[in-house]
Amino acid sequence: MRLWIQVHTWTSLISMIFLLMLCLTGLPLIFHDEISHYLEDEISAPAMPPGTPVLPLDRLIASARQQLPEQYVMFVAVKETEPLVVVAMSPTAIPVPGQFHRLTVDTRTGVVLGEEPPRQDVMDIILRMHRDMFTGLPGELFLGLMGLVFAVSIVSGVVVYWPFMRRLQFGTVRDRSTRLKWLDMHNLLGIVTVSWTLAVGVTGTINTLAVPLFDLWRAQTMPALLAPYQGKPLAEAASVEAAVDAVRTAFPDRLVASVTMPTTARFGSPQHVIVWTKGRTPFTARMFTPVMVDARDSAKMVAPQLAWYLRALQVSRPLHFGDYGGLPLKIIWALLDVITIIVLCSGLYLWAAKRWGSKRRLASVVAAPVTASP
Amino acid sequence: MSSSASTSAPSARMAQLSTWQVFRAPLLVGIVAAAGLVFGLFGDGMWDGLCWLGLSVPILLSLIYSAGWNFGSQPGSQDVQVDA
Repeated sequence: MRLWIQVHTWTSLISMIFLLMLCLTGLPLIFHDEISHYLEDEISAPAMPPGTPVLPLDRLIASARQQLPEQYVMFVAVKETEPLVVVAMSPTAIPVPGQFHRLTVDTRTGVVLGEEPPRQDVMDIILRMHRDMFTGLPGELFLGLMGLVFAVSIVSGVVVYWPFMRRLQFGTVRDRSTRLKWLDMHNLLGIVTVSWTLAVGVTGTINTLAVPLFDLWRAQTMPALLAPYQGKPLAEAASVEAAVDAVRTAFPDRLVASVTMPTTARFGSPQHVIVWTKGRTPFTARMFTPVMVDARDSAKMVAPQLAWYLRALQVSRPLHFGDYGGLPLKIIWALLDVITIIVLCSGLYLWAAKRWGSKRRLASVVAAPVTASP
Repeated sequence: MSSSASTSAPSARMAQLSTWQVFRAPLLVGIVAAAGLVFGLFGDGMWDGLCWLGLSVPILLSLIYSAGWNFGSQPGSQDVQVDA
């Protein structure tokens, strides 16, 4: 049991500073959508009678091209909640991060409503801190490792819960001393939130593997699919609308989320329109599956099967973000996050008090529940 | 949830509890919260409601027990004062 206490102490201390940072930056990120909406940097569609017919995608892309004639169309994202599409354009054939132009187009009129501002607001800074501490993939993987250390800390915490609680009723919070009170609080708040902290911690770690896993899948799948088209020039899409229609017909149970135009960039294919689809339930809505449609003949399509680890990745996204149960779930997520912060701080306090507190008080507090005579 | 253990215990320093007695309440809370986490993924409407209910349990327990500081150390105090 002493070993478990050591494991709990050290895994907690190692991951402490990073977890506090993750919990604090995570708190506003839970409400990312609401805050963005409040800051009004989102463009919304003007009111029109329901059932107003929608223009074909090619017409919408053309009106975005009219606005920025020199630029390359990279992808088109279809908004689910509003009759809008976002056309992403780049001044270079292979896009440079931060150089994207995102034009929002009304699907009923084809009018370009505006350009989303370059993404560099406060929320993006918080997001980058939370995701990789501004250090890219190494930072992301490092935080993933901290997530694993945190998971070990949680499991060892559950193990050491027993010696501390074996003479106490569940939920007991003694107030004989500040230390004792916080020891009991740490045990109580820690044990009731285990499911949530483990779920969010582990899915957070899985999310840090997103980039390498997707690259792995691409490296395994795409060369074989693209081999027949290798070396061929960049194709102009004959009709994006036809490609999307073909996919909608072939997969009636899926929604079209976005379309990647033929490109020489790494995320696409030079000879295909890639139609990204997702399911219709909250569970499958996270499962984005690409369908590659031949740019010149929409009857020819390939739907590569996503590897199981990408499915795991996609399921772990909502479980980390808490965005699958409306505003009430977000509030619950925030409260659990605050409780986790209290557990972290009280744990740090208990360790500091044990280390620098008087030996006698330490003995009476830590040893009492373990060695007290009946 | 933790009532049967108190019957034989006149004070906080009660007879040693078994592993099962120590962990049954946390286990129940853990299962309820985990069920809440998963139910929300299944769909909207009722599933979201179950999700909120399940995940509220740890929060409510945290509030109730930390508000009633003395709960559990006083014999037979099942009525907790939640007015902290």
